Amino acid sequence: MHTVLTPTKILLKADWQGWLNSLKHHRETQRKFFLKLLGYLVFIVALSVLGNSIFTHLRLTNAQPTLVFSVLNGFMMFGALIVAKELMENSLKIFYEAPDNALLRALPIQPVAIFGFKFVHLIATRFLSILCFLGPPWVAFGLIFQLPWHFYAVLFPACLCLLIIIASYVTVGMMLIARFFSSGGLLSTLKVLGTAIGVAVGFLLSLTLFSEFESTRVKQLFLNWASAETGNLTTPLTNATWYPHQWMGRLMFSWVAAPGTQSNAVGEQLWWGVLLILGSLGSAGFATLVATQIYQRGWENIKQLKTKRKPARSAPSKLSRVVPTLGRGKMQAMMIKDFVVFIRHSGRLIAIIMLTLFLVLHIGILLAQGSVADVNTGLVIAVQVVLYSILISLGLSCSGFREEAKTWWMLKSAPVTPQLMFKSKFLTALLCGFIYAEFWILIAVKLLQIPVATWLPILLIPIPTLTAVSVLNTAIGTLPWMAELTHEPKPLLRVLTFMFTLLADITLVVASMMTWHLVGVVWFGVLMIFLAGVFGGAYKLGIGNLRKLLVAQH
Amino acid sequence: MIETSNLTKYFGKLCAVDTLSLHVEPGEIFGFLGPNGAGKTTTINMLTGLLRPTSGTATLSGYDIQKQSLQAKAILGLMPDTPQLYESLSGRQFVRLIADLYEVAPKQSEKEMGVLFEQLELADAANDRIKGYSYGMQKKILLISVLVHHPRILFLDEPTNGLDPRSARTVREILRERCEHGCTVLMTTHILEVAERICDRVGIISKGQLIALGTLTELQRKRQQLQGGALTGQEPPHGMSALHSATLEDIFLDLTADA
Repeated sequence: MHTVLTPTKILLKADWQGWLNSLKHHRETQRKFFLKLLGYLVFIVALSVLGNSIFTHLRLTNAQPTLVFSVLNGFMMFGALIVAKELMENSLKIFYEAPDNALLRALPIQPVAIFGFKFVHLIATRFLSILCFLGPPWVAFGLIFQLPWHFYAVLFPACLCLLIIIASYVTVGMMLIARFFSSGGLLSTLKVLGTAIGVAVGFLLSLTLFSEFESTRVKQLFLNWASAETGNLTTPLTNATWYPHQWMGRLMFSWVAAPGTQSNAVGEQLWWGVLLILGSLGSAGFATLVATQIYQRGWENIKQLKTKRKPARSAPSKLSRVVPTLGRGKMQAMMIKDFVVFIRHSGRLIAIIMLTLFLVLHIGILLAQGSVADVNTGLVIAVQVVLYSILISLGLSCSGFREEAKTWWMLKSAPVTPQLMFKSKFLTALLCGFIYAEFWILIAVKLLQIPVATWLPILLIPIPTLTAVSVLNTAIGTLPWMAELTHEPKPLLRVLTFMFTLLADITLVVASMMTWHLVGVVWFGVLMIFLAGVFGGAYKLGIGNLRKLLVAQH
Repeated sequence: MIETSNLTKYFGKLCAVDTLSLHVEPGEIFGFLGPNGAGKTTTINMLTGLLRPTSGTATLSGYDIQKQSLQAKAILGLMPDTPQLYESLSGRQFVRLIADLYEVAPKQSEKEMGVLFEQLELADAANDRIKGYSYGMQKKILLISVLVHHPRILFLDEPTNGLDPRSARTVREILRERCEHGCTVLMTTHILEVAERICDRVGIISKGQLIALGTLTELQRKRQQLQGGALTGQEPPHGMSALHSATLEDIFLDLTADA
């Protein structure tokens, strides 16, 4: 036991010191930590808003305890799913892909000590996450049902126990995959799945924050689901269940649902509490036991997978075969480079797919409802499509120069002018956005059978709008605190600028689409002159900024 | 071809490069040596327009790197020590990008790429993404991208570091061949045997100052003089056996002993 615990403690201490050092002195770590906290804050606010709204409704309508429990169960399932997804991604990185694995295995310590260190590390990195996803609904529940202070005190250890159980399940699952089913395809699929869940959850929660109407819809959806679940609930609340998230749910719920006397409530709390603690200890022990048998071999499998050699000369990708047909030259080369770097980013690809799915869903709902194909429907769809196309192209325009941080030395030492760099980024962003927008507007007007007189302006107006917005976003991307090429990172200023950019983009798109229909042609003309001004001003600003970024630094 | 005059760089109070005056002839391979933190990379960064000198000037083929940066950049090729490349691109796409940025005719660049990929044994992986390349493969891609546009001046920071012996030899041969066609090379290396074999002249920099400059024979003679002077106070006679046995490593270690 001593030979396992001592090295585990030493490794954990070193890990903790390393993290503290990075947080104290490393700007990038500070920036990432700050952004992480900001992201958590968004989720906390969104879940609090949703929880508060739902529990207020349930309290006012004197809902049945089973319905209240179903709602809580829904929140628990949602939170557990997100945490499990994060644990899956992190366990793959921490247990198999982290560069320290090889070094640790070369040390004279037992493999189970390495596993113990990594397992505690995994739990520690996700504790904030489980508090963020499970805490807000329970706090909202406690506040609305006016529960005593010890309800909140139990919330922390209960979350920790549940986290240990989920982490053990996920780790055992990953160990089995690594040992017996390891393949590049499977690992990539798991990664894509994780990102897809993340994007979907982010979008769903953002709806509750940005629109009261959507928030009501999400709430209703949630209540409908909970009602259906209540009907399916065959076991009484006091009976045993195999799902650990329900152990925690029933422990916390016993503060309001215990029928009869106070002693009944305490007995029930003790029962679920002990079950949760024993469950967490047992599952962690089980994971350790499995690790002693298969962790080492699994790591070897994954390592082999990564170093596997390709037997034959690889053929050019489909993209490479298309690219030469676009011609050669400085501008083409830069645009192709920008496009390939942009499109080969898995996160962005998933974002494009998710946004497109929402779009298809919206058009599908309109078709199913048999909506009248009028100007308003067309305009709403067009605004949505143009905004999506701008969101998609932001990775090129607003964040494009920031992506060049590692390769900036190359562009600086090459005969590249600021004009060339700016135009290539702006034109690639514009082309991507334009093709996406026009394609989906065409699909929408065709399916919704919008009359020609209406769809022609809808199809044409995005051209000047997207041009002005793309050049504006690209210029904003050249600001020193946005490009982060030569200056110290300023995360807060960057986030604020990004929010301003989104606001400006939405204003410009909505104004240009609506002015034509609602105000008149004269004002539309004035708006077009304004857009031309935006174009000229942003272009000048962008070139000026790039000139400063491209010269030799002091 | 490469000319620096009193080139100086301060980082706050620290003097990284101190009044460096250097002249490298066309067709010459110049080895720029020095201990870690001596100012080699800072000098290269100033010569390639990445870093602005605190004072002094640098010209490449007559073009001032600060005042005529675009013209100067058009004739230089830079290979930094750490390969940081566009990892989403394939090796071939990356080299093609560089060739296009330097306006090499497509036919010529494709032909050149084919030869260089074969020479450096990277043809099999040319269509793979750089993300999957090993350190050595990334160095090779960087080298191919630097050579593909036939620059008149090459700045190479540790060019053979991380390469296998066969590739390292190929690189030496390619560099020698390029220099025979008039290309100037300024390279840094910590492998003194490489410098001994390939460089026409070497400069040793320590604490930002150029402390030795010349061919290997010249440096050997200077060392001999210094040692003789230190021991007897007189210049030793020519033809001493120690003169020819002193390697570049001996000279380097003697000169940088207090660095």
